[in-house]
Amino acid sequence: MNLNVVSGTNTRRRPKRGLRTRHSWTAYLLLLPGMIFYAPFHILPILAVVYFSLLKWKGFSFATMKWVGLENYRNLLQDRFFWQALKHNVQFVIIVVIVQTTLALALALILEQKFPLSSFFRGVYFMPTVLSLVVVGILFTLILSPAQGPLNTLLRIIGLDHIQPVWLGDPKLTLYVLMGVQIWKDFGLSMFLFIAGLETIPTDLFDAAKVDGASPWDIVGRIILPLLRETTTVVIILITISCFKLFDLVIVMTEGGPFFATEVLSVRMYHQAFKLNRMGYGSAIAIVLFSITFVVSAVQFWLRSRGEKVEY
Amino acid sequence: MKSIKLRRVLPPLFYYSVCLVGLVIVAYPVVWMLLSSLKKTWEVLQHPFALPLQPTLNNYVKAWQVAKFGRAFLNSTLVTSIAILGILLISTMAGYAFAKLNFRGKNFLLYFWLAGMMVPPHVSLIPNFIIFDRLHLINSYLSLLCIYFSSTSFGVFVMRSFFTTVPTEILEAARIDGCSEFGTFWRVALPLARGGLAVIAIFYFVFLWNDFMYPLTFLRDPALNTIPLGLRSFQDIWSADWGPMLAALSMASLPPIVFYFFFQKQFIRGMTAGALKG
Repeated sequence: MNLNVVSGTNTRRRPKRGLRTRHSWTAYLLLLPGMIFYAPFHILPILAVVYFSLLKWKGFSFATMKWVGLENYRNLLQDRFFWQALKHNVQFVIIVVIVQTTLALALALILEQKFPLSSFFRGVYFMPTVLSLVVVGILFTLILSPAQGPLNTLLRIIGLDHIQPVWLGDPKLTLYVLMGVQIWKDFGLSMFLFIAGLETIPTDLFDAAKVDGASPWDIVGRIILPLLRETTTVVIILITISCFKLFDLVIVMTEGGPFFATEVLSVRMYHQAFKLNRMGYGSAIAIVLFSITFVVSAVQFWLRSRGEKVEY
Repeated sequence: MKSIKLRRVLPPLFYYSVCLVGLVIVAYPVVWMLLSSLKKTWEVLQHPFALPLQPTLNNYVKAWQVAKFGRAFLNSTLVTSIAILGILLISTMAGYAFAKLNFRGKNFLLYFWLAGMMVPPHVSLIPNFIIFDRLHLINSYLSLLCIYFSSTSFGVFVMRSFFTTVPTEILEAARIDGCSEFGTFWRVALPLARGGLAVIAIFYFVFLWNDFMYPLTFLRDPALNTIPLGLRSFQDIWSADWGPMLAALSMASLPPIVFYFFFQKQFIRGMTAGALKG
């Protein structure tokens, strides 16, 4: 299968006029059902959120909309909790990118060796990806529960009675716990992207290197890593985007607590808009979120359209 | 030459130990969930790591009936299947048009449609809520279905790629033999692009079955709860009763896990493609 057929509209042979108009009608008819939903429920909201972010509005009657210009953005800049939420997102990105990329790459390198059971391990590592974040969040809330949870019970059994962290109640710790859960759920996907990247490297390269007396570290450092640069970029960008999209896990496990220690942009937006009815302010946060992910996706798009390919 | 032998043994040993540690960390929480769902709550708390003394399905019965999780399960099944059918229909039709037909504004419409993948769903959540509120669709599955039917960018992209691989000569032959435009699409092109349908169905199954944000925002009535919402209210009301809770978590995860078990290759393909493009 090949999903890489980006751009290029295979219009090599231009059909005759008559055929073309006939096709036009069919084509528009075929696009219609999708567009009926796509335009009003996907595109219109993106335009609307820009407009909403310039309003002071509780979201009830359109008559109560009040134009305030950039006031929401000014407030945003002075809002300590907004900056804190942004900081949490950034911390999340940095740490998860580093840990997950390293872990996924290491496991991909190991599992690429094709020893007995290696495909079994791969299969299991991918499994959390198909689970719901709500299931994962609740499951880990139980596992990490301070008094009764199996993890702290395990710590007691192996004699670490003095280490009994309140995993989801300690403001210094909780954000890192969420990062751990996120990595647990997601690293399988990154790992498979790396495996796919590794499979495109011709094996005779390794043989040649071995003949020339290269150590395994040389092979990894001088052949594999440079050749995987593009895959690595893709993986890092994907992780970055998913860290800015972080929502379900926080809502289920901490609701942004304790003491706002895990509040991230999407959660702050949700609370402002739907709990406090500050639609304008919430929309301004949405615009920030949009700008960040847009820049990141644009970088990805740009890198990919420069012609490199990731085969899988 | 003992050291050389050791060097030869060491890597496999190292691989296996790393992989086993990974296996325990990844699989054990899920195994623990499934095993504990067969225990009574006191047993889960007292002997978290033991096998169930007397395995019982009581928790499942309790979760399904008393906690009304059965309702959520049926609701999710209904919404997910309708949404997948609709998305498949929309994506195949549009994908075919973009891959095999020529029409004015094709490139613009294609990029217009694919641009949807660049926008995270949170961004349009507030206006979406307002729109559905004005249409009186809050608290109705129609709002969810409208949103799902509008999230077709990935599906269109995949179907377009698959239809591109179908040789145009075959379609032209069908047309010359008197096949209608629709017949060419339905009876000739679609069967050749079956693989795309599987990729889309799997990707959207995982997304829809697990979707939390849209139901959380658009649904109010507990009777309409989908599985993630049902689990959420479970968490609020039954947090002390771990047995039924774990049974509900297991029921929510079993369909994706079982499907994954049977269609592992297609899952990995569909989800990596989704990650790259979504």
